[in-house]
Amino acid sequence: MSTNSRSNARAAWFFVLPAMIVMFVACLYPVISAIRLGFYDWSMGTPWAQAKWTGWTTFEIVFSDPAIWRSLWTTLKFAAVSVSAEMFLGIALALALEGNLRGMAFFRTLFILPMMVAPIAVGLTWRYLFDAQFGLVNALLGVFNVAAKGWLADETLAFAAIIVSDIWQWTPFVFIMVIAGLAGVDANVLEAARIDGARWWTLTTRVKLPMIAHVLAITLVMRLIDAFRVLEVIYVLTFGGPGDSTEVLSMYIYKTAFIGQKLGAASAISVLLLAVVMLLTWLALRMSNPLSDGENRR
Amino acid sequence: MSAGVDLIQVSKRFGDDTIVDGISLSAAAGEFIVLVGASGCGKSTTLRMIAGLEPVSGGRILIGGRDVTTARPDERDIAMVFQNYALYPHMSVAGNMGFALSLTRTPKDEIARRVGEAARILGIEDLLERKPRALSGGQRQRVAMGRAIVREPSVFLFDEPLSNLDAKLRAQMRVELALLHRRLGKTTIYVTHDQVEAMTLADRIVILDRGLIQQIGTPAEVFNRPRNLFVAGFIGSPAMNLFRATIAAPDAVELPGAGARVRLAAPLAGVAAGKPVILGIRPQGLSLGEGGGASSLHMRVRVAEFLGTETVLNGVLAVSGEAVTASVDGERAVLADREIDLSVDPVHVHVFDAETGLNLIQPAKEEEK
Ligand SMILES: Nc1ncnc2c1ncn2[C@@H]1O[C@H](COP(=O)(O)OP(=O)(O)OP(=O)(O)O)[C@@H](O)[C@H]1O
Ligand SMILES: [Mg+2]
Repeated sequence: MSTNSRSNARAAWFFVLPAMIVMFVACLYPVISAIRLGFYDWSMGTPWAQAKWTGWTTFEIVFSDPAIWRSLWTTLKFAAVSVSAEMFLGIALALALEGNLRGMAFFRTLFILPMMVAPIAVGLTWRYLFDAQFGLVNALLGVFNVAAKGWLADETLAFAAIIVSDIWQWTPFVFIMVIAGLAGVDANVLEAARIDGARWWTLTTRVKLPMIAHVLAITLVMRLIDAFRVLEVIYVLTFGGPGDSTEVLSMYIYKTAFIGQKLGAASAISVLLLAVVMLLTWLALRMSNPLSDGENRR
Repeated sequence: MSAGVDLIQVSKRFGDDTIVDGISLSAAAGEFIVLVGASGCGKSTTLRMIAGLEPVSGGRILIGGRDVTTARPDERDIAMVFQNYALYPHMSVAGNMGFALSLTRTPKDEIARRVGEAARILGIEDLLERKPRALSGGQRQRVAMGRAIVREPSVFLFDEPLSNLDAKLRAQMRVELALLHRRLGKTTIYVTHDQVEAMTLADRIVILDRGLIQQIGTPAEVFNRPRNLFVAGFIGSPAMNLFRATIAAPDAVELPGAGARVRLAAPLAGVAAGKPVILGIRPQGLSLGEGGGASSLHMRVRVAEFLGTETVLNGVLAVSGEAVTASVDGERAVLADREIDLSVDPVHVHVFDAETGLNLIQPAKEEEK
């Protein structure tokens, strides 16, 4: 058995190796080189040989700058508000539209359109919608006799605007994931619950949603990761302003790297972003895996 | 407490398809009713209408004399066990069993007491903390039954509860179900296509075909006096032999070909000679050797299946070449590829109208039971 299994293992490696090399080059290498960049002082366009080893200095400087913590806080607020709104709306829509009523297929298709639009285009679209003079948002408010607002010029309103556009674009993602999850729920289990006396609310909160907890967890993680890395829409919509009111971490990284020309510092902040995202992912996956523990305990 | 179930002209249509066609049925309180029929005949649909999971297209349903035709499932005082068990995957066994009670705000210790009691009856006390996916099929089956028992409903509904179990476990659970029914005395409506389950568990069997009730009766009644060809072919194992034949005399039927005659136990009333009929003979009604005076058939044996207590002979009738099965006493495996004589026991002979399929032998002899 041993010779056979050893040659099997070798064959397995042979088949897996190409994929692993691609994984390494595509995923791990950029991460490692970004971290390495944090230990050097290098500006773009200059030869790498001229880069100076600075050790932890960059990290010390960057992390003692209050701007980074302010931007981290902005990111957290942005992610918390938009992702929870997206989860709530996505789940609610999915629950409302999961049946097989006539015309639902049309609505379902309609709802997922925003997700397919390129983020830059989403940003541009919303910039026009929020435009103080010609924007549709102010025009609609005018119908209800609400005074026009300078959406992207006011710190609070600009923050609201980027959240609204994010919700608009990413609720459909949550919606699709939840719809798919619900479609996989055994109808007999729901019927058993109805016989047991569960009405809509209890059926939903105590049977349906717990049964797709793993889908919800994955969706949440994916949305959080994305929300923490959001850049394009904000770039187009507010460029982090007014002031630094919408300056999320990735915007800050962008400015540090390409406006401040401090690539080392930008890399150091990227490492922070990476760490935060990884921590969140780990937490979310750990918290919401109620289905697995029974199995493990066996 | 147990309650009777009455179906009054209940029907179900999906679009233009009539799946259940106006069936009426009364289950007395405490009675064990088994619905049998071929796949797709509407058994599950009927059960689901009783449960309130499927609205009726017509007719009324009464449970305990109360009209529940439009009542919600939880208002019907029923519990249902599904073929795939339908356990809540995210809840422990105890959570599954106590879910219904927790919804009615039953005190925690009361829930624990009743769950513990049901678990004890079913022998699953050790499993209460497990999740369903950590259980074997048989254990899941017990949990599903436990979930039904805990609610103390008036009526139990089962939809092929044993069909996902292996043969041995199925036989064991069948016995346990019978004991459980005797212990709890609850009205039970049980769907299956396994006729052993039907014959052993039922007080009365309801045979369905294409949405219509073909016969309702005790296991002995449907076996000994099948009302029509469908019931005759469906109940009994191996299946009843059916031959094309004609009436030769009030008490004799003639097979085509060399004119083999089969005598009946009693003369038929009002049937003209020469009428085409279907002759039905149970495999158990055929035995080896020319019976003195009784009718006999000549059979060419193809395969002899030795089953321990009996041997099932498969072959053809010498006269007509029609397939025939005989179930004879055991230890006769040497019969393969031989030609033999079989004597016919008139008690196991049935005559059906070739057009309507109805059994022409009048159910006069009540003592036959
Ligand atoms: N929701 C539905 N829409 C349309 N047709 C249906 C629906 N549910 C069941 N049917 C049809 O009704 C018929 C009876 O179904 P049912 O499930 O009652 O059969 P059954 O007797 O339980 O069969 P089985 O032994 O295979 O479980 C089938 O032909 C099925 O295709
Ligand atoms: Mg069925």
